[in-house]
Amino acid sequence: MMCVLKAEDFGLWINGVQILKNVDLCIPEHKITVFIGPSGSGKTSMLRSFNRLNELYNDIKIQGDILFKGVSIFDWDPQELRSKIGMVFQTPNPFPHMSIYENVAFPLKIRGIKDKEEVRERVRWALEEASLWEEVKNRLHEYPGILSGGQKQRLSIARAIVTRPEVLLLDEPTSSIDPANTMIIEKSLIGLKKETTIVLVTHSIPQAKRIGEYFALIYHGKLVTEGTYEEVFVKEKNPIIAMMSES
Amino acid sequence: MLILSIIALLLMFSVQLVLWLKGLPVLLLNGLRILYDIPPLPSSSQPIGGLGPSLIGSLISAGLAMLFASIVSILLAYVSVELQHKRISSVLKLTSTALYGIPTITVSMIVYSTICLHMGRQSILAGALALTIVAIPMEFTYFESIFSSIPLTYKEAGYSMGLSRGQVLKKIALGIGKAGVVSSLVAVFARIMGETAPMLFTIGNNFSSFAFNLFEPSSTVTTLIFAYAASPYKVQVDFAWGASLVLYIIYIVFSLASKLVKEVEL
Amino acid sequence: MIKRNLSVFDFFVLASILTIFVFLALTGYVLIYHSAEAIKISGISLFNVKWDQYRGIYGLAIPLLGSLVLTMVSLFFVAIFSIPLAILTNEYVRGRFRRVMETFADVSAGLPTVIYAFIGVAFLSNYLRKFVESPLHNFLGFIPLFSCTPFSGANLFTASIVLSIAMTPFTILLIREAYSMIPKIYIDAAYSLGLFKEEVIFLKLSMIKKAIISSLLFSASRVLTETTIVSLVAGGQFLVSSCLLSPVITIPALIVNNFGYSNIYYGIDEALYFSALILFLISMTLNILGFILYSRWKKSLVV
Repeated sequence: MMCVLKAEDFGLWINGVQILKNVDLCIPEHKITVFIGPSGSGKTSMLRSFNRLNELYNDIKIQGDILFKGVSIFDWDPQELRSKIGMVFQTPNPFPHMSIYENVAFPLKIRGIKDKEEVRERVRWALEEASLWEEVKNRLHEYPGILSGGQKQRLSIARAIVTRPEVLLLDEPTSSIDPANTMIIEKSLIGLKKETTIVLVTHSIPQAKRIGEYFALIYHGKLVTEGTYEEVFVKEKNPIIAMMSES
Repeated sequence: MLILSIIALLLMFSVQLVLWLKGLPVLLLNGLRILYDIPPLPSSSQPIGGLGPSLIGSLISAGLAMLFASIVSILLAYVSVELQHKRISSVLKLTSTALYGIPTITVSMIVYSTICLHMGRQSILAGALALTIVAIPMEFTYFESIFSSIPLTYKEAGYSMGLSRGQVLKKIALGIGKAGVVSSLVAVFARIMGETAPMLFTIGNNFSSFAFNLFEPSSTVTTLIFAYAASPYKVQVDFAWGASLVLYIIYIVFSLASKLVKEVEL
Repeated sequence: MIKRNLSVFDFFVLASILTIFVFLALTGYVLIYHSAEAIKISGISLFNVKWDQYRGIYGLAIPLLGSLVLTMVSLFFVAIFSIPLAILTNEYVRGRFRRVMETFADVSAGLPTVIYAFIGVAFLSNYLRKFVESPLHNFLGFIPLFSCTPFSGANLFTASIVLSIAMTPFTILLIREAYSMIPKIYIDAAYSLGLFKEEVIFLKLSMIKKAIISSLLFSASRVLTETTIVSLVAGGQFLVSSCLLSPVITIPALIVNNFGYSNIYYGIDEALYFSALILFLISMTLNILGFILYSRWKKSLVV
């Protein structure tokens, strides 16, 4: 099993406080990996470490390493690294000053892809994969403000995948979304795993069980357990999971 | 208390009312030539002439100052907001506040003693430099608050796509904040066009001939008003009323324009 | 360990940072250098009341005093004009009229001071002299404040009125901002206790007391460094008296009238740089005090 992302004894301090301790984790290729754990356990920080987002607005200290395709992410040029990793945030955030079409086309534009036909093809593909195409195909030049929360999140997903990134990170993407849209999004993600590797943070155990193939339980900044469904939910019967399943 | 308010309001209104009453006749007498002609000679019987050279001086010096100040201020304000967790942010804010606290007459003295003495003369460039020093702190404050109010999540979305800090500034921050940025630029332009003290020792006293060369002395509408106000020639004082009204109108138009912006819906 | 390559953007940022540091450093250097020279010149003194450029005697006591006294008197007028007006617009005026007044204040706040200065010298000074100052002298002349004859309208009283007209909109803006920051829960609590509107206003004023003082301090700093109004309207004569109706000179006016003649009068520029440094320090102090007070007030708002 190829590890597209590999954390090796990874420790993280944000503004002096230790958030992650000694994490050894492998993110398997073309699978949906789910980070589970209670609020504040460090799952989001782990996710944001992968694309080096933490260092933008915080003073951070690192111990250990994270490898992306075998090379330390700290040896990668940060922009190149981030351009190969897509991210979807907890609050849907399509750019308000760009139209729906421009939002999805934007990542292509900044890569210098100028051919209008190609851009249009890829925008359509991305919106289809995100299950949004049918709803917006006649409103592509309107602004995201007209969309509902669930639609905005699907738009954010389209924007994140249009460049066909190798990894797609999602930080609790459906926690503020209604159940109907949540189902649509989960279905899209399952469809997307053939294109890319998906890492998802969620605090919903049912969601984890629905779409996850590989699981990492993070608690108090440490990786408590990782593995497949059988390994984590059936065999181990971890009390933390039991506690979370009840809440 | 009501009496005091009324007195205050009366004073404020009457000042502007008198300006119109005494300035409008001068404007009507001259028509549009007030914008492109040269001022009346002291020996004239009527205040017929124009602000041409001074208006050009005002526009060029303020325009140049805006050019320099805007680039510097946008960059520094953005850095100050993005790197809030580092010390440079507070250093920049402190420096801006310090610059803002320099009395404008002192700015004039400084630019005079460095640029004008070395060049051997007063010039539009020196005036523009003085205005730049005045404009930077104003713009920095505006832009800092604009960039701070852009929700973090949009900037993070930009970075997560592989954009550099400069690209996030250009395509995301300025894109979302464009209304505020434009409004601030117009407002600051209006204010520096109305500055007098920074220009007094720097731009010169050339009211009667047009200067388009940056290294030549010129004047501004404000220095013209200042000079003519104390003039012993009645025609110049009368003309100053017209000049004051022109400056007032320019300022009001720009100020009001800066308020008519449509914000991007977040 | 976390590497980055330098880009064009970084270059411009560094250039910008350098620019403002250079501006600030240059200002400091020029001021301090010339002031140091000034101290060496025996004729320059903060405590001397004589000013004689032909003999190289530059006593800065009178302009300094003039600046301080004019600022204080102006601030008195600013306070009595701006506070009632701020209350009026915030409490008693509603709807469209209120928005008109607010826009009027906003726009007037940045109006070029040279316009006020000109109207002051060409119009206001005559009317004030005729209708306010001469009567004050004639009827209240026994009070030292009004004991001198206002020969022209260019005196401390007129200057402080014009200055206060110029600064009131700005002060009103600051006070209004402070007003709007009072948490609604306190207002609701006050009304629910049965207080009358006037009592609630008093309560609000006492809550923003520190903010009002800091607004006045900021305005004081602006008045202190104001140049055009004092040059044209204050009279510019080298004397100091306890009479409000006498002419006065301030440091900015002194600078405007005398700067640049170092090749004729030895040491005059050094004296002026020195006075500029003093001015800068005083105005900085006022700004800092205002800022500290404002920050303390802001913190006290949070329950």
